[in-house]
Amino acid sequence: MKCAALATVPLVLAGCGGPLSTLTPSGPIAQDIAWLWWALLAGAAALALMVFVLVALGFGRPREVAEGRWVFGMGVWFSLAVLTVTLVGALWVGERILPHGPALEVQAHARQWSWTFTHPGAQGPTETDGVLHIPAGQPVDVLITSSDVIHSFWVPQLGGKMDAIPGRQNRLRIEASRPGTYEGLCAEFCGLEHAAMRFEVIAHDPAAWPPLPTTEGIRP
Amino acid sequence: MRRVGGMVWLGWLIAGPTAWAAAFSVAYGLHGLGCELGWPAVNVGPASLQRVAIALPSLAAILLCLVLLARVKATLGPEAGIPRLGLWIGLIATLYTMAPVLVATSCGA
Repeated sequence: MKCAALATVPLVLAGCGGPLSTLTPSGPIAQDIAWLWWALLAGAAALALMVFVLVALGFGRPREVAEGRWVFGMGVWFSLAVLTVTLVGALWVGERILPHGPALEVQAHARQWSWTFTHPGAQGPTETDGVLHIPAGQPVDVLITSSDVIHSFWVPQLGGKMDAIPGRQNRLRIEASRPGTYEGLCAEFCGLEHAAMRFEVIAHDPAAWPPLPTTEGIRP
Repeated sequence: MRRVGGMVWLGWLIAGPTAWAAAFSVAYGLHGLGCELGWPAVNVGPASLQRVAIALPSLAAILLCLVLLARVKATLGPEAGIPRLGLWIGLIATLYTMAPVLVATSCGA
């Protein structure tokens, strides 16, 4: 039984890597989110450790326990301290990743079950299906819309996620530090083909931006 | 000191968390309404109408908890212990819920 449990550890940890992992960020916004994730994990681990120690103290022979220290010292003040630090961290990160200041704007339109993107091109705006082109090394605001049900735009390595809601336009800031291809997905269950509603983000070298209309998949 | 009935004691017990829950629900609703109606751009003194509108229900809940804390011992006598804890929980939870309202950006931009 122990061996079976240990054997699952590599399988679980394998989910921490790969192109859809928030723990392998490729831009400053995703880096901030990953930092917050680690801070929350550390806080949760500290609280869990306190509970485990408390449970361990319950075993063995009856003994004198400093109730005040555990109930108020650890139960109240330690827990409040962890909560306060993580709350301040979350507010700080939350402010940093908002779309403040100028940024290049692109549009992402969702429908069951595909994405269409519109972005600046060398000869005017261009449209692509399933591939979003952005320049690397600068912030990009994605203006997100939907024509049927609620979807959600998410490129884990480049930023947070944002719902695509019929009838309104939401704005999400993403940024890639280096040129490359990143994977994105719909992060809100939207029907039978939801799991296949993937897309790619190609971050171009700033010197080669905007991409030429001859780039694969781009149409004027 | 007269004894307080079971349901009244129960009412004191849940008063703190209920005040927090009510303030949170009202603030949540006002936040969405304010974003739609453009309240962040309307100034009320040094703060925006958005912050004032969201903070007011929380301030009311904090005030209610403080008033009840001042009266709990006189009303419940020796049975005031756990209801007093409930009021402290409501008070601190409301402070934590309200704190981001005073500093965080509203409406996502």
